[in-house]
Amino acid sequence: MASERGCSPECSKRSFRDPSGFVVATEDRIYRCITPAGLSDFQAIQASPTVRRWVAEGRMIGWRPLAPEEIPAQLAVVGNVNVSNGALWVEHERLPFPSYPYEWPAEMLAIAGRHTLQLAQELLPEGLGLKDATPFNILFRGPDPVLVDLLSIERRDPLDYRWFAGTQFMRTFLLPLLVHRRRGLGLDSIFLTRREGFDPVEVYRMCTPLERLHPHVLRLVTIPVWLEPVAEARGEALYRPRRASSPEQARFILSRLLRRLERTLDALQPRWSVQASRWADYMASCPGYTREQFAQKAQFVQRVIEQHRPRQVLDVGANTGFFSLLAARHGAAVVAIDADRAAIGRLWHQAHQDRLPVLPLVVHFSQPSPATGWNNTECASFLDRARGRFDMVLLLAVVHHLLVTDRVTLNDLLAVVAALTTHLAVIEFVGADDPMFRRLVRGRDTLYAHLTREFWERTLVGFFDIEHVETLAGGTRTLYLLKRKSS
Amino acid sequence: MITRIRQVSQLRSRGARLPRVPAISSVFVGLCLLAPDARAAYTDPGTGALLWQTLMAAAVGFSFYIRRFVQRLLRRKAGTRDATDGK
Repeated sequence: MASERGCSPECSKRSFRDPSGFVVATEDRIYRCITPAGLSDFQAIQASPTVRRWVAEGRMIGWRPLAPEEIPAQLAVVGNVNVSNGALWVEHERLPFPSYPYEWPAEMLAIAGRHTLQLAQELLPEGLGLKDATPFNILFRGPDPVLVDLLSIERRDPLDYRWFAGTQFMRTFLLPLLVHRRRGLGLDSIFLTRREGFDPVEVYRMCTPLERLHPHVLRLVTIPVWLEPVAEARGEALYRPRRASSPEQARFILSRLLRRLERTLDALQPRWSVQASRWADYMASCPGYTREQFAQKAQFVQRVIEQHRPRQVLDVGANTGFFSLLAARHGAAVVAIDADRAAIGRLWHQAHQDRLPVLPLVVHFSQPSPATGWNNTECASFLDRARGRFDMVLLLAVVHHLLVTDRVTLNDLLAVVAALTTHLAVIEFVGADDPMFRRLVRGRDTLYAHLTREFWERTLVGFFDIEHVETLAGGTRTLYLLKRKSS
Repeated sequence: MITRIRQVSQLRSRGARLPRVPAISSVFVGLCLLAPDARAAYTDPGTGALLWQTLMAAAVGFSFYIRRFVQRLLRRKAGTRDATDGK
């Protein structure tokens, strides 16, 4: 089932796979239609004390029923449902920035999985369950997961002792974490092409014969693959409801199965040692800066943040998030992006531990996430979600990577930055004589001979007004506070 | 591999004492190697896992009866003890 992820300017229908409802996203609002088929489940959801508690704690998305006169006229057209047919409309709160599993570090997938299992466990005594369990049902508010797919909750048959969504949970949470742990594969490589996660056979083929006997691989991959021909031979009989002798027994079985999944999830937590990183230790050593230079840079950024108090900050090339955390400590909601999974994983740990509103995402600024899903409209591209969402964009010690390593032209780069921010940008210019710049150029000087400070400033003024300039001691790096020109 | 097997059998025929891999492990590893992983059209990738879950659930369901049986037994014993104390 898809979940709501809307921020395209037009009004569009999302989350259409479940007949019990769908989501419509307008430019700034999220609506959900509950069709007559989903009304009885929705009443049970509304009455659930667990759901009420989760919403109050911010762990589940909140909603507000709409009176018929409050329903915008265009919704009935988009949804093709008439309210007079018994459908119910609600409006959801909008989270600051939607993100998808292919942009998360493995740590965030693990916590999203734990969130899903906790909810399933807590709903059990109330006779409710989850009919699907996919990371696409989860969004993040800062570093904390929030379940957004309200209608994934359903009334359970009290005697049924199987959790059908368990196999989906295995494919979309456990197998990606297993493959990440054993093969170091990033979630972008998994979820961009596999919305429904891994097929056990796919993982089976990745494993060596001995690896197939490893306890986790054996339970999650090898045995299911061995059992598949037997299961297929049973045909539809396998999917018929199984009944326990009493509701108490069914709850006991389900609770044990959920606890077992939780234990497996804990065992598959990402290990830092397997996450090869070129950048995670960068901030500790700070190559390219003396201690004084870095302190000067930090003071500049802090001064700017204290003076302008941005509410929404995008930190591009955030690394382990020194400046993201700084902005968050001053009250900004930060989206921190970097291509390095391990660095972003560490930032998530830090933000989660310090309870700071930082959403760390594995996004390469020169290859941002594309639009995905049905009709390329289910999940908007990173830039579509980010455009105009931030009042400050930080590009610190990253521009030279984009210009030299990724060969992006300066004009294009500044055009994108100007589209992302509604107000300010802080950009660090690294001159051609800087040792780190020289390392990136690798002797191809003629290609970058035009990247002088004069050319840089001449291009800048096409998009921004230069508010403040400060050159770091040593003279090869300069910090710019820029104000976006009004279009 | 074949050369290695020959070497091992030659060493054994000369009376050398070589550690034997337990037969059960070899069969298990062999099964892993031989296990089919071909996939037919219309196969639901989750069926094997669902059947595995069903088998696990059956095992857990059985443990529920054992647990209940033990609880009843303990309760009855406690009841008998209370009755004796009461006398």
